[in-house]
Parts: sequence; structure tokens; C-alpha cells
Amino acid sequence: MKNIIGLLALIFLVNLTMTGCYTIIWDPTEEASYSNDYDSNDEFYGEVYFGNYGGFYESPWWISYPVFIGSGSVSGTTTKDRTNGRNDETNSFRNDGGRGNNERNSGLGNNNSGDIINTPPPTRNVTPENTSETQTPSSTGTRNSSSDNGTRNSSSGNSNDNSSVRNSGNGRR
Amino acid sequence: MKMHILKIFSAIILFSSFISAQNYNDAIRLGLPGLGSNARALGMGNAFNALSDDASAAFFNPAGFGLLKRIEFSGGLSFTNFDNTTTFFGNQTKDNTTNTSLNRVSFALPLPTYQGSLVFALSYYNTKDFTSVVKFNGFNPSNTSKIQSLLDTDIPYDLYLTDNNYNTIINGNLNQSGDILNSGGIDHWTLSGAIEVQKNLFIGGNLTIISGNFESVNDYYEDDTKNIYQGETAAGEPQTTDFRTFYFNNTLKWDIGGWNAKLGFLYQFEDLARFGVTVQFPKTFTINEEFLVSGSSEFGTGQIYKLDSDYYSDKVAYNSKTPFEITGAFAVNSKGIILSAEATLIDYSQLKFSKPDGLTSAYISEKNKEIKDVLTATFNFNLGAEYTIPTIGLRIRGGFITQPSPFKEDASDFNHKYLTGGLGFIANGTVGIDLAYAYGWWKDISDNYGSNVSRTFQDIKVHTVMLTTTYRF
Repeated sequence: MKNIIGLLALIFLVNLTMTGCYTIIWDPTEEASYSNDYDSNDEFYGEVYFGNYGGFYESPWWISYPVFIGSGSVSGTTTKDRTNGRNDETNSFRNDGGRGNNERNSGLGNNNSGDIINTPPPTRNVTPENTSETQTPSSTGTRNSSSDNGTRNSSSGNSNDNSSVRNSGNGRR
Repeated sequence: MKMHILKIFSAIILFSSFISAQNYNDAIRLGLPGLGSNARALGMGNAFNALSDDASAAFFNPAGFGLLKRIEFSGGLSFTNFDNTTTFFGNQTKDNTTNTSLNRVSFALPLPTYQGSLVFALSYYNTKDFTSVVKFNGFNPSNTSKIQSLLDTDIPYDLYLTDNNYNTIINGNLNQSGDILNSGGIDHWTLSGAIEVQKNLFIGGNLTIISGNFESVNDYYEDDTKNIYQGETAAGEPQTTDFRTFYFNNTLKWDIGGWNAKLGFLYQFEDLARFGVTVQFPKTFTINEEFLVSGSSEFGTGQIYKLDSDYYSDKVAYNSKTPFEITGAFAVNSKGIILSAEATLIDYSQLKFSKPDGLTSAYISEKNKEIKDVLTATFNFNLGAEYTIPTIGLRIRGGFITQPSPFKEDASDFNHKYLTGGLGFIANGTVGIDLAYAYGWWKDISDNYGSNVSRTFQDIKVHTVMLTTTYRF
């Protein structure tokens, strides 16, 4: 019996020595997005046959997956019909938290609660004659081309009044 | 005079050693596998070695920790109802005892990786429940009795059941009754780790500190229900006429410590199957034993004599070592149905006592030889199945466990067999709730003294309910 155990141990020891260890531990000093690089093994509990148990067993806690609610969900909740795929709306938060976004969205954060954040009116006027218009929150027309408006509207997405201008020239300047 | 006192003193020590010393029953008590502490596993007949994808991997297969991808905190309770119907000289007696206990608290932490898996875990779990009971009552028409079996000790003499030459008029034909109530359990405190060494190949191990206790309270009575013994049991002592009752109690208390280690391997073949192998290294138990004796005799004259408990009670210590346990297992997965099976080799003849304190080495050697003579190697088998209904997150399970008797001569009726079933439910994708029920049945025998002269034939049925909750975040 001891010989068998010794042989088993030897086989695994040789195997490890020859090939190295498969597991690569995340190095916290690296800035690389390890969540994108994670190489998962075969999923024993696929969601097709195991439902929510799929995520229970197969989703690493250090990777944030988008929440998927199937049509046959236990909770009975439904999702609104949406056009899948990348668009300007998802582009606006795709890189949240990365360098650059903080500066661009400074002071606003990722408030998705639907509350309209009241920001102070622009302090830099394009022309002295337009002072009264630029102080109106529901500003329209060419006044929105100002950099201040672009920033303000990026966090007030639920305001229908601004929907036409929310994505216009937003961000990437 | 000094020599005489020395002889008596030696005899008392020798007697104390003999009536309190361990035998193969004590070794088996520690060597038999328990039912574990995971409701999902129990529902599948504990055929969980190849799955082991939760914190109960510490008990089944530590390599299974490598399958965890989320931080897990889990715990559970178990309830045991032990029914024993005893047939003793044609008379049936039923008794039962119950126990409820916290059977597990576990924490598992998978470290973030780019690929593969590295997981560490801490667990407390209860692996064995010693709860059991035997109750018997019947008239033994033979010419044997416990009183006679103790004639090589001072007990009958001290209770005025013999004359000064240790001769007694008692010659069997007594009503014998009593009960044995056992309780206690073994707890494990385990540090585990597992790593994915090749894609889908996991190795894990753990180190365990053992603690636990065991208590056995044995009450035994012999009554002259047919008024056979009307004369003096101690010649020249008229108060000993009309013998009525002999009562003998012995209580065994164990304080259990120890350690053990386990090594496990697990391979997942795509999403179709898993294979597991574990090597449970011998468990070393350190037993600090306290043996308490009391007794009395009663006579028709109203006279009652009692034993001096301190005189016969004692404390000893020794080690007990269990054999290697080798387990091979597989589980297959098809369209939401998981079928699993495993076999475990345990060679009970390798159970061993060592390091006696208060017992002689010669006595230990003799008992180790007895173990080799009466015990044998066995294969335990576990089978299980689980079906998940994905739309409602419900799991239905069933299983079967068979643990053959470690005694060479035992028939298959003495094998421990369990039918199990269970349900599982997941809430919010993070909280798992599992419930299991196991029905166990087997036969057993025990001798009040000697061999097959005062034997109880036991028909045992055990009902176990286990609840486990798991939170993954």
C-alpha cells in the first residue's frame, strides 16, 4: 500500500516539475485587466441545464459579469427590450473607473439612480448677450456646444429634454 | 502482611486495567466513517468525492476546493434519531435516543487568478455522531450470570455475594436487564488548500486537528425474579439471605484529541465527468479515558451493600491509530443529471493501539493481535444521483451507502446501509439551501459478559436529517 502511495506521489511530483504549474495568480501590482484575461476551465454546471446554479459555481468572484435574467427566470422579473450591442450609451460607461474618466466626470460619479443632478449654471459665457439663456437648465440650440453643458448632461441621462443633445459630442474631446 | 497488602493492591490495579481497558470495539468506534456534514452530499449517498465543489471538500476531497470560484461561507445542523429494537432471550425491548448538533462552519477563499485556481479554506465540521442506545430485559435460564463472570474480581465479595473464599451460591437463572446509552462525537478543525496544476487537474490537501468526546453509560441489573436464592449468599452473614438484586454500572468517558492529513486529486473531463482519488492518512487519536464503576446488592432482609466507586474507578491514556483510507470516485454529468459513485478501501485489521499510560504494553500487544484476528478489510460503496430543474432552481437527490461490517465473521445483515434523499434550492444566485434525509439500518449484537451466553440481538434504524446553508459572494 505504501509503495502505491509513494508511486502516485512520485508521478505527480515529476509531472509538476516537468511542466510547471498551470495556475497563474493575479499580481496586484499589475494594472492589467486580469478579468478580461481569465482563462476559465470547462463549465460543469452550464446555465442551460443548471439555471442559476451555473453562476453559483462557475462565476469567479473577482470577475464582474453582466447580470443576465433569462426568460424563464424564477423571480418572474422581466427586462425591457433593448437593442443589444455596443452603442454610444454603453460607450459612456464602458471605461468608467479607468484613467481619464475620473477627470472627465469629476464630481459626478456613476449615478444611475435617475435623480437629476442640479449643477450650477455655466460660469463662462460665450457672449455677454447670451447670459440669461446660458443660466437656464433646459438650454437648447447652439449653446450646448459649450464644454460645460457637455459635462452636465452626461450625468442627467433621464432628462428627456436633454436626450437630443446628451450624446452629441459627449466626452471624447 | 505487607506482602498480602501488596498482592491485593496489585490485583486491584490489574482488575481496573482489565475492566477499563480498550478492545477492538473501541478501535472500531474511531475507525468507522461517519456521515459527514454536507446535506447535498448526504442526499447523494455521500458519493461526493468526485464532486466536492463546496467547502465540505475538507471532508470528501480537498482537491475539490480548486473548483471553487466564489468565496463561500457555509454551515449546517444535523439531527439524529437512533432506534434500537433488542431481542433478549425472546423478549423484545425498544428504545431510542436523539441528538441535534451544529455539524459544520466553513470558509473558503479562492484567490484571484489569470488562469487556474488556488483556494484556501478553514473548516470546522463534525464527522461522527456516537449517539446510540441499547435496552434489554429478559430471563436468562442458563447457569451463567454477570455475578459469576466477576468472580475473578473483588466485586461479588465486596457486595456480600460470596463467602470469604470467593464462592457463591448464585448459579444463573436470573432476570437480566439494563441499558447502554452512548453519546458524543468527533470534531475536525481543518486547514485546506487546493491548486489547479494542469488544466482541469486539481490537487488538494489538508491538515486536521481533532477534538471530541465520548461517553457510554452502562446500567446492568440481575434480579432473582423466581426467588431461587433464599439462603445466605455470604455464609455466616444472615442479612444476606433472600438475594434480590445485583446492580452494576460502568461509565466510560473519553476526552479525544489527535490529528490527521488528507491528500486528494480531482480531474474534470470537459463538462462531462469528474474523477477523484483521495488518500486519508492514518488518523492518530489520543484518548484520555476515565472509567467509573459503581454497584450494589439488595437482599430481602432490606440490606443493601454498595461498592466503593473510588476503589474501582481509574484513569488511563493511550493512542489509537486508524488505517489508510483510499477512495476512488467518478461523477458524470448529462443534461442536468449528475450520477456519482465511489468506493473506499479500509483495512480495519490495521487498527492499532499504542503508547499506553496506565496499561501494560503486553496487554496492548494482545489487543492489537485480537484486532488482526477478528477484523478485516472492507470496501465501502456510495452511489448518488442529482437532477436540477433549471427553471425553478430546484435540485432533487437520491443515494445509497453501504459500509460492510469490519468483523470477519459477520453476515451482510450487519453491514451499515443507508438510503438517502434530499432537496436543494438556490436563492438570488448566492444562497444555497440543502436538506437531506438518511435512513440507515443494520443488525448488531453485544454480550453482557462472556461470549453468546447473555447476548442482545439488535435491530437498528437510524434517521438523520441534515440542513446546510451556503452563501457565496
